[in-house]
Amino acid sequence: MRRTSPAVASAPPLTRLLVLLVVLPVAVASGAGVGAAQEGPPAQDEGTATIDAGLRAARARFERGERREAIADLEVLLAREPARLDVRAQLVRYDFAVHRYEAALEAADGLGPEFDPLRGEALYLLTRYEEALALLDPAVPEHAVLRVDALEALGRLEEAARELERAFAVVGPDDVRLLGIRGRALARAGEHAEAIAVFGRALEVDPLDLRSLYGLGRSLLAVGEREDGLAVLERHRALVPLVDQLDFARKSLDLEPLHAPNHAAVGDALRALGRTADARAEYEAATRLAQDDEVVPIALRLARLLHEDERDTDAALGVLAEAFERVNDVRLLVRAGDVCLREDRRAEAAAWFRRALQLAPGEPAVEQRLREAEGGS
Amino acid sequence: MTARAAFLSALVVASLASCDGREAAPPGTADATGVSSAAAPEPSGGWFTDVTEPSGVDFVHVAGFTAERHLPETMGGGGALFDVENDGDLDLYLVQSGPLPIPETAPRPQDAPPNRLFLGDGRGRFEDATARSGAAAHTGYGQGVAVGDVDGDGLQDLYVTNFGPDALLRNAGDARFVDATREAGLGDPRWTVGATFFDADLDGDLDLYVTGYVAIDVLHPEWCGDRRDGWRSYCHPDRYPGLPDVFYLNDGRGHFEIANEKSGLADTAGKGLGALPVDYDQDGDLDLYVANDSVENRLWRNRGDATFEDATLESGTGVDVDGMTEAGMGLACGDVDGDLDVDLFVTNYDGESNTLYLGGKDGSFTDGTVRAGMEAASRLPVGFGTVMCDFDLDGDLDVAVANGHIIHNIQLYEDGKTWAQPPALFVNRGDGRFDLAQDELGALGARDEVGRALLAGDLDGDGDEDLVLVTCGGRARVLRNDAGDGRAALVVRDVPPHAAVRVLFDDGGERLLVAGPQPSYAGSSAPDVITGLLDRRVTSVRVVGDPRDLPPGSEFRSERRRTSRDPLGRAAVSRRGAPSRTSARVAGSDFPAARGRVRAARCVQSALRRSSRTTCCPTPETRSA
Repeated sequence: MRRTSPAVASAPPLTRLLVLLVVLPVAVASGAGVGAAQEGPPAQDEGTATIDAGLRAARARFERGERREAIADLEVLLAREPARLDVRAQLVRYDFAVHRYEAALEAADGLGPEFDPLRGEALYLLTRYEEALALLDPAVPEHAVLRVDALEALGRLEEAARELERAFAVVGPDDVRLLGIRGRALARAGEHAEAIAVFGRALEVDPLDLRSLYGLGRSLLAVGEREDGLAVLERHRALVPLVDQLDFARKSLDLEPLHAPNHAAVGDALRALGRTADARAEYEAATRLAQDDEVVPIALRLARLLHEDERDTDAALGVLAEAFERVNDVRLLVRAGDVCLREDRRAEAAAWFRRALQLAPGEPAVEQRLREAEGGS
Repeated sequence: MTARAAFLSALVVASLASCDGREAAPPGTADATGVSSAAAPEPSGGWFTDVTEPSGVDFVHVAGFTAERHLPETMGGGGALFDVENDGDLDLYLVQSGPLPIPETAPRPQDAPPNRLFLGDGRGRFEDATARSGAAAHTGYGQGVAVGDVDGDGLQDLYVTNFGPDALLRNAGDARFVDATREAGLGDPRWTVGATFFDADLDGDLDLYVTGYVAIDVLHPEWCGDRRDGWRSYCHPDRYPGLPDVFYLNDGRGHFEIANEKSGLADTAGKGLGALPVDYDQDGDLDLYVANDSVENRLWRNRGDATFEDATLESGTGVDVDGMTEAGMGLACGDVDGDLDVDLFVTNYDGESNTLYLGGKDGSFTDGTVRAGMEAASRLPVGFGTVMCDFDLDGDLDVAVANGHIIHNIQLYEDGKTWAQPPALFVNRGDGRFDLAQDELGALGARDEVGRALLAGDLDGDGDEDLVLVTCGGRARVLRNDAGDGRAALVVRDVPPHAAVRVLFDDGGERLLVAGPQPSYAGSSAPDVITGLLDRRVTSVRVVGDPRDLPPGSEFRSERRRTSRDPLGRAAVSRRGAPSRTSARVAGSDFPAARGRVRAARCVQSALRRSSRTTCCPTPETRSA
């Protein structure tokens, strides 16, 4: 049983670039550049058929979550048939998805310019910004954002400013990332009044955007609005650990997307931020993916959200009952009883506690609950 | 006169070291240290030359790596450059780790490797004095070290942070130390990394700040990373609860009491790795900047009486320009852009950049990392130790960073990243904008290292700052700086710890310098202030908070607050009221000509340059003196 995800070990505490939070490689997501090569040559002989079968098998493994195994399979295939561009293209995409950016670049060797967007993203993620800028397409929205960030990171601020305006034209005027960058540039230039307006607009779009919230607080201080500035900064300070938690959980999920606890961790972070609907979706995904030994904590969290946030007691009880059918764990019964007790459905609560005592006879905490339920019924 | 003002009286030496006309023996010359000429380094072609072998420093950090990947294994090692014997040259103390202590199953062995003390000769060579150093051969699972004269006897003492009980090692003279932990009321049993001594309440003795890191359970180690063979990794600190920092006030007799509550240092955020006392608002007292790993850094403004207010939000030093927390580890400060404000530099994790906070006149800071040209180059490495030094003596501060990942197998998870990483050197263009060094690196960039502490100090007495790079699980490296050869330097010694120093020049220019010992990461760099003079003459040197100027050529005396000894050999510091008045301490034989005076000289060759002698060309200041 896995207790933590690989990302726990490898992820930075927070991805500092908002672009990275959002981007996860556009070229990979879209399959950009694979195009016709993905189809492969028509099967002409037994060897080709074997490669085709291997490619399909690798895809299946990857989709099952055996991502590194799938990559190893593709590498074997490619060693046998270096000319198979569809295999190479798939390998590039898979390497990229597991953060093997250098391997992706190497695997892309020999592929055509249709892979340049992906090369650009890999180079960006390797912080080889000068090279990345030559390949990132300013007409692609996500690339436009990356280009602005790369230019800023390189200290080429005038170019970054021009690129920012182009990016707005491509991405749209209400993109929170770009608004945040614009506000930051204005503040850097001492134009705090203008920065305040831009940060404010960004926060209308996304009230949880930390960059804009922090920038707003700093700029308010700079123009002498001390109390307001500090209030904003205090709010930012309170939100930071929650957003950090979400970021960390998302990176874990990115590295192991089929690991149920990773979904649940994202759900926890979203719930802490008040994004209940998104949190519920993650808990439900976790429920679908959960191994038996992962079921209980996930069901308990989903039930809590349904009960406490969505005020849907029956749905919460349904989740607990379903989980109990699967793993027969007494904690689910106790939680169901607690839910009923809090809703003053004492008879139901007593029934749940009695079932729990059948599994854990004499358990003092449960007996106490049962007395409470019966005493009021 | 306040106690601090008395303490502030300082010896200022404007000199280029080794300018006493004495021939400086090259490190390869066979002598009592047994270093043979065959070990002499070849010139590296850059600023730095690896002189580890001829220096005699043969320290190898033992991390005690285990299959369980306990986090402390990857956080050492630390070290300090300081003058143990008051003989005027820098000595080196290196903190060892060894087998990780695990209660019941693997207690700390009796023969655990000790911390080591190397005595410098002022010319870049060191003698291993560990065996006769007494308690300095401490055998805790070490992380870092702070340096300060806690009992006012004029000798520098050590506070060693450990994974396990910390230790106060009192310098008893003659390079011998005694363990004074218990009588001092110290011995924090938690996992601590950063520590610093500073006079928080201006009473003339040194108080102590120790950062708590995280609480881990070595008996039940969490598995982080993939379950496949070889993929287990160190867990991110987000997996563990943070430990609060502890602030101790010194009662003047070398005994410490916890004073977090009454000092206002209650909410310290936790997960601290570095603490830097700095008079950022130049009001004459020492404030405190704390680097926290993955949670907000903290800036504590001292009200002047060791009560602090949280200035993090107003100052803008808690997070980066985007409002994101970073993994603060190493710390350095100085005026990088010449605007006479103190700037702060923090090293961070990958995916972040190191962050340069530029000080403003109102006590606020702005994140100037991008404008300084330090953003892109620091996003991929994991930064640890860092120093701000005028390596090439051109009058501005350059920045060096020791890099090295936490996770030993990071390349399995992201193939663009590595455990060992090359150190980075940022060369100041003169206006606070930096170029990432290539040619200048020399031996500093010759190999990838798992860098941790990076210590700066003039090891060879040639008037520029050399480096000691301490690595995790590897050999410490000694790097001679040749970049200042032929340039004149102002060397300010024996200023109060962490003091801000203002220097006036004959052309009307002014420079703000910050004294050490600065913490880097888990360490303590040399306390001296060194800056290039170019063609300027010094007209005044003044410690901020001390009303007196120290004009060139003027004789002056340092005032020390000391000392009587009790039967146990503990020093009793004289408290407010008449401090004892002693002769100015001149640091060692390399500086005899500069005793008690402000002097400058020009040195044309490095003391460590092979087959050469150090010759000094007097500048007008020297002649007039």
